[in-house]
Amino acid sequence: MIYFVSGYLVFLGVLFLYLFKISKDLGVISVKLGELESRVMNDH
Amino acid sequence: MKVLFVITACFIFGAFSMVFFYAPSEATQGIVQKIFYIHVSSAMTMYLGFFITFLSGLMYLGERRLLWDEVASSCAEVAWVFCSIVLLTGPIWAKPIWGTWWTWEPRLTTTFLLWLMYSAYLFTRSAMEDSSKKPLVSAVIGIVAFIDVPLIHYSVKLWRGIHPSVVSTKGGLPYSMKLTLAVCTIAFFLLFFVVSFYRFRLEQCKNRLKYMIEEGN
Repeated sequence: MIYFVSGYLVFLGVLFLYLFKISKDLGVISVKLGELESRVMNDH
Repeated sequence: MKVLFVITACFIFGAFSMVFFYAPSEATQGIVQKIFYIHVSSAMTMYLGFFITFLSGLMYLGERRLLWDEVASSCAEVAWVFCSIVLLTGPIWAKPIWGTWWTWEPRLTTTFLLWLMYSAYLFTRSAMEDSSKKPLVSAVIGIVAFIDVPLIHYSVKLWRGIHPSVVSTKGGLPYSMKLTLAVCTIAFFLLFFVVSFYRFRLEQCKNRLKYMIEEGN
């Protein structure tokens, strides 16, 4: 039973960590992109 | 995209419900055999992801469009995550059945080799972050590394390893197990497409940001 539960927890854990990583990266880049775009708009 | 997200969530819920409540426990291995559904489905998804990376790499070499590099790198990274899941869930299943976490058996060794090659692919990309040759170098690595995928698939027959051959034309699993495996695989494929799409958007944003910074300078 412990192996079965561990297998599913590992699957969910790895997936969750990866999704957390991409959403964090996407958030950081979106903010940077927004800042740059507004700076460009202000310059023009 | 929202529709695909909802369909994926429904499929994953359905797949896990089938694993827990519909699929029977295997007579000799017991409940631990149910790791099979995530292990095999992850392996299939990994094959699909690396195949798209291979095709996109070829397309990049042919057309030199950045879009193909973005597709290849997104799919390679998500497929690498599924490959890691295969390599982690395999030993958890192997320990109670084979009595060991790991053995240098042909299929395990070739899968580990694939993981190493695509790790090299991802490391190369991050090391060449600012280089204009990054798409070309990673396309070549992605194509060369894919040679290992058919080797993994046929390694059981070629070198007579102890790893069971899951996909075979003769006999095999009872209908309920086959159906559960099919639903799990479809759910994982959908999950792969959803996650790869977000990873693709991230790569596009990164390239756009890089372009804007270069334009600003």
